Amino acid sequence: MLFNSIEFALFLPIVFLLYWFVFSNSEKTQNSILLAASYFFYGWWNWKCLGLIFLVSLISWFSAIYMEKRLRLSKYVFSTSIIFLLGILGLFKYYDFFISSFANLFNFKSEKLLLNLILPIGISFYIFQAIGYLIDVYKRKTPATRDIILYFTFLGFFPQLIAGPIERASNVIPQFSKKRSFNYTQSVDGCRQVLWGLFKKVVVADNCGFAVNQIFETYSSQPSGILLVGALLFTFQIYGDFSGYSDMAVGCAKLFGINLTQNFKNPYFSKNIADFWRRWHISLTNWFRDYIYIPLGGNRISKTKTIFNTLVIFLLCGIWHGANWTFFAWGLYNAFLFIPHVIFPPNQNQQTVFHTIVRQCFTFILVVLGWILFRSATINDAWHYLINMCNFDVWKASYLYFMYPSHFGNIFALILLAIEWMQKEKTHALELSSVNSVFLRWIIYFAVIFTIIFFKAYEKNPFIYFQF
Amino acid sequence: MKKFLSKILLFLILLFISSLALDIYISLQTQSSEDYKYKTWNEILKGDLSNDIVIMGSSRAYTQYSPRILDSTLHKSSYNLGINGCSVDRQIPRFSLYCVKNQKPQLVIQNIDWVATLDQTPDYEMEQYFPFFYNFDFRKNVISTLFSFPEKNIPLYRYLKNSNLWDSYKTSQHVFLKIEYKGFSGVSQNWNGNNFSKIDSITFKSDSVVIKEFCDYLQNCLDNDITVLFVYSPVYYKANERVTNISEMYSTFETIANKYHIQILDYSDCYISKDTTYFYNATHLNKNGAELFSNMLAHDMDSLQILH
Repeated sequence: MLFNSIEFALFLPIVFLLYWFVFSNSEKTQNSILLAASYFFYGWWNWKCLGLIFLVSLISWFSAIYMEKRLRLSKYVFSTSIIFLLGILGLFKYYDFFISSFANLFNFKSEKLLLNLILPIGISFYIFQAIGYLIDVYKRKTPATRDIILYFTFLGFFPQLIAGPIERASNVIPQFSKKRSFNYTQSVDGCRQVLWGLFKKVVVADNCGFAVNQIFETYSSQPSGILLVGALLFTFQIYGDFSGYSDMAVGCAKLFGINLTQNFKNPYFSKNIADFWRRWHISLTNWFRDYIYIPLGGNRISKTKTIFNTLVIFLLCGIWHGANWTFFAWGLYNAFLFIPHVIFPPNQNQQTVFHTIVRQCFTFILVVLGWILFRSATINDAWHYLINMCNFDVWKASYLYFMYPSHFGNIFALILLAIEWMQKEKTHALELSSVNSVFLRWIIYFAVIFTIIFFKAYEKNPFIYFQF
Repeated sequence: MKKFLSKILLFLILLFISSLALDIYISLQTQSSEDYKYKTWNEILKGDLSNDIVIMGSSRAYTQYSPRILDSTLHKSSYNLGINGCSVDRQIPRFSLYCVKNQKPQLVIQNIDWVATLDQTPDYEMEQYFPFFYNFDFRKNVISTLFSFPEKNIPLYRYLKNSNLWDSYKTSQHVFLKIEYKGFSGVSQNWNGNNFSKIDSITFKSDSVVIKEFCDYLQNCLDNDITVLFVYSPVYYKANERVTNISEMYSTFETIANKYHIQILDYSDCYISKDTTYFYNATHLNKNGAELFSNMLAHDMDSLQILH
């Protein structure tokens, strides 16, 4: 069930009404309906995969309680459960990839060794959330919850189940532990955020995606100007797609009285790569920082070790996105951009507006180049895409007609950028607290809705981050 | 909560009203289009058609049977109800609506071929129905089985299923092909065998559901004293040669024709079908071919005294 589907448009109000009118007696009944709805939501895609999320939830819930009860054994329980969770992730996501890669490297046939398992949607997200919880319990940063319904709801909460944000127990479990009361302001803001997310997904991302698919599939015969357009459009596609999903997830959660982590903070206005990673997929970046980078020593160790740790973090971050060497290379690319910031910490002095804009543009270009690696099917494709893009001989105005199929994408990518720039201090672009007139606010909502109706893309693309 | 729900409700009502207004506006604008997709529906819905003969079929009907020639030879009035890219399952609702809104014909010329009963027509040129959703007879006779509940009842939804409103509207304002005369549209193009050269073999298939609908429709004609004539219009002879089970097609239609006492005229092997100058592709006559064929058909009908 996609957020931008008619099924979800029916599902959400039904769950909302049941939650606030039928099951609102206590936090237990509220959590129960959320859990039932979440499993229904997940099972709609593939009910067979419900068993896996149930197993992951059960093992991590039980392990956390056991670790807390039997302190002497906690180390072993912790290690076993982490290995188990990573084993599941490895089996479903990486096993076939590594077997095929080894087979290519050592020249043996791998067909019989491949498992060809379907990749359960959102597996990387909920397993990372479960691992984060176990680490927090092990380090006594958070108590293990005894309430099985509560824990299962924490891990399976439908708005963020399949593409994040990757939540922390310390943020969400306390919210699930008490009865939620309806908050008008929070719910209205949730609706606005869902609307804004929908706009980013179906108008910006899907329109860009329409052109991106054509350009990346035929890149070898496209002139450099079109390849540049393709790279830029993918930059907005992935942002519109993923941040749009996150906005819808956060917005939906607000309708149930739950505040989730803000996952994006205008990443394309970043002043450098380190800044970009503080603004892009914030919940994942924080996860790697808190559960891997800091335990490895953070920045309190020697420069050489810090550089090594940074490299490890980015390679893991890359491979987290998918079982493909392109993601590995994308991680490596980001590591090389990030490492200079480790060696030479950025100057915190006040900078002129011009200087800031130049740095933002430069960072944006570096990010765009990275997305070529991310989007290409193979590293070889990415390399040739880059080479062809730099072939300035084929810059011809007549090629601009190729841009026609993507014209909505181009226009709305610019509109998105402009609106987010104007609203950059807000948590989302439709946060209209400064607009006092109800009439004007409603005009804006209607304008967004009718823009969606008029300019939504033809093809409904699945969310890119679902595959991770 | 009360405040929130009442505001949401008010918002949805306003959204519904504005969407409905926009839907009606776009539908009215589209209805006035001169494009072949809408023109025939418009004329049927006007309700002032009075024809002795109607021609039924797919694009092979509306591009090949010229009512002008039939009218002048037979001294009768005819109208072409051919509907592009559709098997009989989508031809029949058009005929039903025609009969509801206009005077019933005396004769139906039913074009038959190896695609007539192929299958239930997939979602092809569904936009032709969009502007007429606010017409009661149209809803009842045509769209009731073709569209889902949300498509039929949520304003603008049908426009958004496979497109967006901007492109739907722009496309509806573009005239791809004009109706020349009473549902007929001759295509003035020369032979292009590119697509045909890529096809190795063709198989005649018939869908049991479609066959049943077809038989019900023929029975209905019989009950209403409407004579039906089956016509195999010319197909480029090499295309017919590539139909692996053409005898099955003949036997299927023969069985049906016998059951409902229907006469069959076969032009699939006439001299027109041997000459590519009369075709623009392997299954469609061009304007010259269509006029020649219509003339031939009209004279045959006259000599066979089919309407006398």
